[in-house]
Amino acid sequence: MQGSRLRTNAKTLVTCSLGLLILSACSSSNHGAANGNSPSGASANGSTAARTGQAITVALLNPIPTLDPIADLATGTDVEENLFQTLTHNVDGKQEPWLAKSWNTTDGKVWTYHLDPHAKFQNGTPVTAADVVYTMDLTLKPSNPKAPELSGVAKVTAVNKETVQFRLKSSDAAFPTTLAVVFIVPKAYYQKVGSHRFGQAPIGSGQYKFVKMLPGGGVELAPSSTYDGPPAEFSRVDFVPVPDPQSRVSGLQSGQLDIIDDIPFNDVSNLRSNSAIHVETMPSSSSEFLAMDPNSGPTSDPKVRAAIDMAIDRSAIVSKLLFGLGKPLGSPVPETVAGYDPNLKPTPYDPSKAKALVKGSSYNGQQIDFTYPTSNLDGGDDLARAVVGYLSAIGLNVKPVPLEWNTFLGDWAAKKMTGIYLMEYRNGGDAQVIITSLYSRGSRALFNDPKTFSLAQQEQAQTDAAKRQALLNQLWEYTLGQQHYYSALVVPDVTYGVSAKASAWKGTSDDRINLTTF
Amino acid sequence: MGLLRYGVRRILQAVMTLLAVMVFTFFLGHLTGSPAALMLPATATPSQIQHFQANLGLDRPLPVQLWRYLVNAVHLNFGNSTANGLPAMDVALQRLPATLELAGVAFAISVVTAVSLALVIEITRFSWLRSMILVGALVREGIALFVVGLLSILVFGVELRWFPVVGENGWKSFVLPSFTLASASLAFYLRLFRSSFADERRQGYARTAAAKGESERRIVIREMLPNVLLPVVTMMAINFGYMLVGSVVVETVFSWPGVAGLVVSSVEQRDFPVTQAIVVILAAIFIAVNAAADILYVKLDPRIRIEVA
Repeated sequence: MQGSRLRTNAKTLVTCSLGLLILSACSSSNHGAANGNSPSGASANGSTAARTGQAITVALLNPIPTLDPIADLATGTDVEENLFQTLTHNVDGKQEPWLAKSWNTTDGKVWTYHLDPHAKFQNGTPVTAADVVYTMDLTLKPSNPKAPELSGVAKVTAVNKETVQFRLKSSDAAFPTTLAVVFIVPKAYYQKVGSHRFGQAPIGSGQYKFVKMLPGGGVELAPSSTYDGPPAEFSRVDFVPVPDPQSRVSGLQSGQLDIIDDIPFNDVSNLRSNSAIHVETMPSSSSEFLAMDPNSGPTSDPKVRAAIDMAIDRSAIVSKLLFGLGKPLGSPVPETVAGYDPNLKPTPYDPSKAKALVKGSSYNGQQIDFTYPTSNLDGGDDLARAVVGYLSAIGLNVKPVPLEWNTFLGDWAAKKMTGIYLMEYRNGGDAQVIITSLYSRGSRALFNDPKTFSLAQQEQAQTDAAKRQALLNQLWEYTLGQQHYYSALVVPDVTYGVSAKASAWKGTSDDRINLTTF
Repeated sequence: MGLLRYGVRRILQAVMTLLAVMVFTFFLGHLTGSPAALMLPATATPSQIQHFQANLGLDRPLPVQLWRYLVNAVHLNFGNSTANGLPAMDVALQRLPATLELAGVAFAISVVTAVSLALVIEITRFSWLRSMILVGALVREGIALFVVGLLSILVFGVELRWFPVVGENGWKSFVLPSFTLASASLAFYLRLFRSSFADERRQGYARTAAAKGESERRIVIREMLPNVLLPVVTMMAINFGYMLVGSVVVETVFSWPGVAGLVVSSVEQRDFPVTQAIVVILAAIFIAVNAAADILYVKLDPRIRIEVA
């Protein structure tokens, strides 16, 4: 075994020796050196005993400029999930108690949350309804980019020390899911230090507490002694930014990193062959889909839209472009999201029938724009090219229009897309998110269909889970099965790579790194 | 008096260059669209997007925005980051030391290696050694920087585990990125040395020294090297600026916590204040290094001063 390892090293060295001649000059003084990032043990600031006592290093996708969850635009969410608590936490589309022990509503318009009376912030002060109201008021300020997420909230009041009431502008059955993204901050401390200083020395009520910022946007955490729940798994957690996916893989292989996510799909099988690394994959909460413009051009003909839907071989996309890491999708939301309809199967691949539909339609060879983003798309350009290939094969004249992500988002928000567009949508925990974006009146939907808007409005107001699901099924069947406004393609997997040291940790479908032991 | 006039002219040139960079960056950034769609959730309505743009001041005419930007920039106020609300200059300056450290170490390595190898090439009697160094440098130059970085990570980080491959953690973490960055200019320096030494060898003093029977080593190091260094030093100083700016690839591959990563993320997020602050800082450093190179040249070569006067 050792001999084999040496032979491998020698072979690699010979191959690379010329280009790396200079690098080898300093190698002699570093034999046996451990990586510079490995923590030596628990932090001096760590206060409680952790379950494993292991100190781990976790890769972040981006550097963290601030840990103020109200000002931060999601770059620090992986850290904030461990520092702070939300009222409930999302587990595959279902809400579980966290800071709130229970919650209820009578009409979907007034929601009452009862807080855990034992919950404390890491400075020892109890978490009260006043803290929740303060957090919500800050989040709802019009200048806050997160405010639109909670735009349905009319008023938040503290009924008593442990009870908070949310009054909404209209009924919203999925409100708890919407609320589950807001981290609660301590009012007194936040008011005292302000957003800037809070972001550099935050106090939350989560299982881990802030120790210090690391150079270049990293963070060190240690177990918190005030957390009202099971002890933390790790004695110290260093989050370090590693934006490049290949570097994350190398960091895990070299033993410098213990948990990474967003592994490039083509690296997964290679990592799986390494016995020291555990690769975890699971269906994500994202969905990749096509949207078609029913107002103008060839896609205004329902036959053309139906042909496009059945012209695409979803299984081939999954096996060839996603390396088997995904599933064909028939519903707008995947199974990890509340509102998923298991009876909606992926449209079967039938190019002959699609061709016949095109022939029998009003289509006469006009060009159809096919817009797609050049990033934020699992499968990337290859996926877009594959779709263009499938559509050309049934006789459609498709023109690819690749757009940089921000330009794509801008055009999407302004409903400037014509023809067809391809997108990967991150759903969150509930179908309500995509319905608000793409199925409701005033949304980014390209169609103007009163029946769709009415169904969307009815399901949002319906607080009975079974009745709501029935309405959702109707909505999906009408918009995808009958009108073909959208064509669901695939759900890509989320991928995590974990070292032996962190093997106790399990990933989640929301592509986050939550280390909290529930 | 001549030198003073020269200095004033250089400063005015620097200010104009900086102004041009700021205006250019401003328009380039704003041509790429508004950050509102990126920052707001997918559920935001058009009116919420418009309201948010107005809050950022992005709804005003571009000339008005440019004027405000330039007036504030004079007071070193580049506004707050649209991504996190922190002062843009603070965000940029926090990341600058790591970039300067990496570029500094890489620069030192490249200079020492280039001078040493150039001397070996001139002095050695073994033509195979000379060829090996030159071919090696050319081969290195032919391989893209990120490939060299990835190969060094695979060999020295993943396989041998000698050095860290991610981030800045002690001196060992400098080894792979700084050697990768330093190796980029090796062939360039060696070519410069070769042509300069060839020029000097044709000069009378070198031929006289050889006729006097001085050793090759003495002629090269004592007689020729000070003259050879003259153009090389200038190019090295300018190259330091390129190293700063060109470290984007190396910083990305090694997850180095410098400004390069921040440039990329701020451009992706359309965080105009941070992008502009970084570009201005890098441009200022580039201009300062160029000015320093000019002054160094004047100090090293008295003929330049006479021409200025």
